[in-house]
Amino acid sequence: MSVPSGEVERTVGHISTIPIDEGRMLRVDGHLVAVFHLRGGGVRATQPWCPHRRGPLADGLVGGTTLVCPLHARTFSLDGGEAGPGEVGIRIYRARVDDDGAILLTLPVDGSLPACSDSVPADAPPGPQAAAAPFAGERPGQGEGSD
Amino acid sequence: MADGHGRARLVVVGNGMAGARAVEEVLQRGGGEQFEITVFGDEPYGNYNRISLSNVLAGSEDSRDIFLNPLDWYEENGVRLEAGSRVTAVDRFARTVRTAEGVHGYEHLILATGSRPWIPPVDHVYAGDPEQGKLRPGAFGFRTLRDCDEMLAWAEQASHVAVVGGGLLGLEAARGLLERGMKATVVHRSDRVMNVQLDHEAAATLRRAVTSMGIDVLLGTSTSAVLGEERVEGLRFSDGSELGCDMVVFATGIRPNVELGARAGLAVERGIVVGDTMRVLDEDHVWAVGECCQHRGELYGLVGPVWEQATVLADRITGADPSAEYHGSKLATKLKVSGVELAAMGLPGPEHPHDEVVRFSEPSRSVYKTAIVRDGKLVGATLLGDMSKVSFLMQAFDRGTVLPEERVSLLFDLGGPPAQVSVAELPDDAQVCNCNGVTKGDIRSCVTGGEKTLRGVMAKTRAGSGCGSCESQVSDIVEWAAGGALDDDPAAGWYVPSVPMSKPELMAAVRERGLRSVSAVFEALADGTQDAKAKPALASLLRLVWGADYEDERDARFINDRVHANIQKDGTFSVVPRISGGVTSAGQLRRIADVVEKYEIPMVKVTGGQRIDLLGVPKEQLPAVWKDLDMPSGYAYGKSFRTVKTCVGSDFCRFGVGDSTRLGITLEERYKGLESPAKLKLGVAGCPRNCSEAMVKDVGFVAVEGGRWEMYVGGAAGAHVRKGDLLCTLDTEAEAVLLAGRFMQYYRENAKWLERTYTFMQRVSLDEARAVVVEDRDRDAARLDAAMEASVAAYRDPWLEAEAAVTPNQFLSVVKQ
Repeated sequence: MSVPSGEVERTVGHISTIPIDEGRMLRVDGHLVAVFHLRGGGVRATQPWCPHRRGPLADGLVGGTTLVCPLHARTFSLDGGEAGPGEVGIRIYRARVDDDGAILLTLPVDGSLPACSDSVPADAPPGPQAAAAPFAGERPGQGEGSD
Repeated sequence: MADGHGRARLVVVGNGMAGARAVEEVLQRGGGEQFEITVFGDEPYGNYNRISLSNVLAGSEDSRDIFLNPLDWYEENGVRLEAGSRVTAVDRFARTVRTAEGVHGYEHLILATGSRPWIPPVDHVYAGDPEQGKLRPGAFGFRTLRDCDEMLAWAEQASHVAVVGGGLLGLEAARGLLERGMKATVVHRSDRVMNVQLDHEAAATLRRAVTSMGIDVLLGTSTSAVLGEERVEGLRFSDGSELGCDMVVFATGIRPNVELGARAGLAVERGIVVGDTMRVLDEDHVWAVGECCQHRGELYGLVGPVWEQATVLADRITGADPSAEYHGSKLATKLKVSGVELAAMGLPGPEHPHDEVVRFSEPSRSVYKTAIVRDGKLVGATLLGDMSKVSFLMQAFDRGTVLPEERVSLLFDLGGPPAQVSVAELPDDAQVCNCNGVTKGDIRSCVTGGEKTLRGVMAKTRAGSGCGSCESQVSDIVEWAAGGALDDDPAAGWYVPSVPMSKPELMAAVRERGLRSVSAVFEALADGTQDAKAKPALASLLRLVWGADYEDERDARFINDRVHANIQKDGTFSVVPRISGGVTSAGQLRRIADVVEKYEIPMVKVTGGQRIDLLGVPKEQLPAVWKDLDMPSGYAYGKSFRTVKTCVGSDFCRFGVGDSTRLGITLEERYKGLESPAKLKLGVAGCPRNCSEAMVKDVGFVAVEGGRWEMYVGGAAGAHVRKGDLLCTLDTEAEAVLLAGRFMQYYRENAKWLERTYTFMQRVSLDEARAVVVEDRDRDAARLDAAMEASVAAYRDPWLEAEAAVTPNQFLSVVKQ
């Protein structure tokens, strides 16, 4: 596979580290990427946080090539990153698995990925879209009161 | 196949409302291509709206305005109308009908011969031979446009009409002739007017209203003879008394016109007998529709059922829906008497001991309203003098929709929160869904934009997809915006949108085909299309069906169930250990305190379920926190049995009459972590003071004197507040534990995904739940108990996964390389 200039393909991990139809957050050059191992074969890679309220996308439900955020059930396409009508989509990175099971990501060389931190950023500022989004607490997200 | 175009010949006998409607419905389904249609009608004109005859009589409508299909219409639609041509015989073997003009063959025959007024056996009512059926001059039946014209002509030179029959039509006729300047007297055999539709009080109120207009009403009076020779001069009654009048109208009911059918050898009882397909019994080529037919023993004399029958007939005869069936109609009617508003539907009064009656009476204003509720559904209602709730009640009656718990709002629009404002009155910018900030205007434009199902609108606007408490209002707005043009949504009954099956169908298919994993279900039943949102629902169902043999795919679980903790807004988790019955110890509290300090847990919260919640724990710390706590999972994250809230009970409380803490602990220890369609929160109260709020729990027990326990189910105190239904009272703690399990198993097997017990109970009804769970009507209790026992035995504390992760990097927020 040829890689256009301005981009670089990089091994970010092994397919065995991600269960089928689940996602994991991977660290790449000081950046975070959510990577999903599809049941139908292949991988998909997205930005780590949901644009709505910064939910960890790697913890979402996957079915086919659809991703559901665990916090408020926003839905995204893992192929193009599109969201539901009127909602902000997510960034998709080109990703593939080679014959040895290595996950290869095509990344921009300009470092435009989000900064990495090992612990989950409890007090991280919300994304730009989050501030404008209305409060949401969808039932399918199951994130209701804890008891 | 007769005509030159290869079309089958469809002959319709009767050009009344039923016959014409059947033809319209057939044409709408492309029947013009299939059939060469010929309609025979007695009356020498096109078809008219018989219901409006009362208005013509009263002068509020012109007879020219009530024609539904003028003669041109038949021509334009290629339908041959033989108006004024009476069919005298049917040969169902030769498949022909005979008229005075000749013989016509058919491939399909529709009998819509309607009915005629029934004239009671009254002396001297006929002029000449009664067999001829000619009434004495001045006496009338009230059925046809011609009757109407003749009555009006006679009324020109008459002054006092007696209307025999105090039903709907009789009152309308009396009011109509009163409008024409006549004195009117209604003579009715029953002790109340409209006795078929109304209870005594409604009838009394109506009678007062009618009397105040100037109509005399004689009740309990049966007519024995018509007086006068050349023309009507009066009536004699069975008690010997007489009434002078110069006109009499019989509105004493109708008789189906079955003679043609009977002579042809068709099955005729009171009417021509049809099955659910609208075919005449044992006939392949003969159909019947409208007032002449008898379906499941019922004859109908109202227009609503006729429309429904015509639809089914047309679906069948054209093949548009070869499985269409008519199952009978619910009857609703409105009285068309100017100055009186009356709507009556279904039962006039309660019939069973459990029927609920909601009634309001204000005789001074002639207002009377009543609603009859059975098993949570409206089965009857009468509105007299105030029609403000008529469309709501008609809809509830027709569709069997869920009724407001506050029954008074069946009869009145109460002031209060926006939910009770009629949706038409809401401003466009009113926020309907407070979770997702969706306004009425958003919903309306979605509907006008072409979305015609509730689910479609909810999916597009997200309205009602939050806490769900606005769903009924969203539904109302969608219906209002669609103006009744709402599409039926077949998916509404499906367990998940991606598999077209109800829960029972899906459970059966899963068993039959041996589908043990969620991905196998998608492969076998959804063309291999994986649906992310449906996965947890399917996982729950499969676990219920297969128990220990369920093939657990972790990707089908929501994140909470993958890591056994509740995800928080910042991606951290909350940890709630089980503290059964809310009773803890110094040792547990000390360990919890130590964990909080060691892991610097940012928030410790005592929960409403009497447990302790450790909030803000990162995913990678979960296993270590669990190990240090050395307590089992409290399942505060799953669609599962959560907790049993208890009061102090009899050990210390000076009011307690039952050991609520012991029962609560026993329940929680037994049913801990049980998989369920939605969360289950229980409560046990040691006395009716209800300190542990047991009456608003999914399952609640309240101790009553004598060592007994009242069992409440379907309570809620969340987004919805509902007091639980008293299911039964039990003699022992062991029975309480058993019945709680049996009820929960019944709920697990029958509830929809995410359907809490409070919605479930409203859907299945308390009587039904009690019959299954308490009375064992279906001889199913032993199986339910065994299934629950198997689930209990399969319990394993998920926090044991702290020792050995089940999936790669199960507890890592970020995978290390």
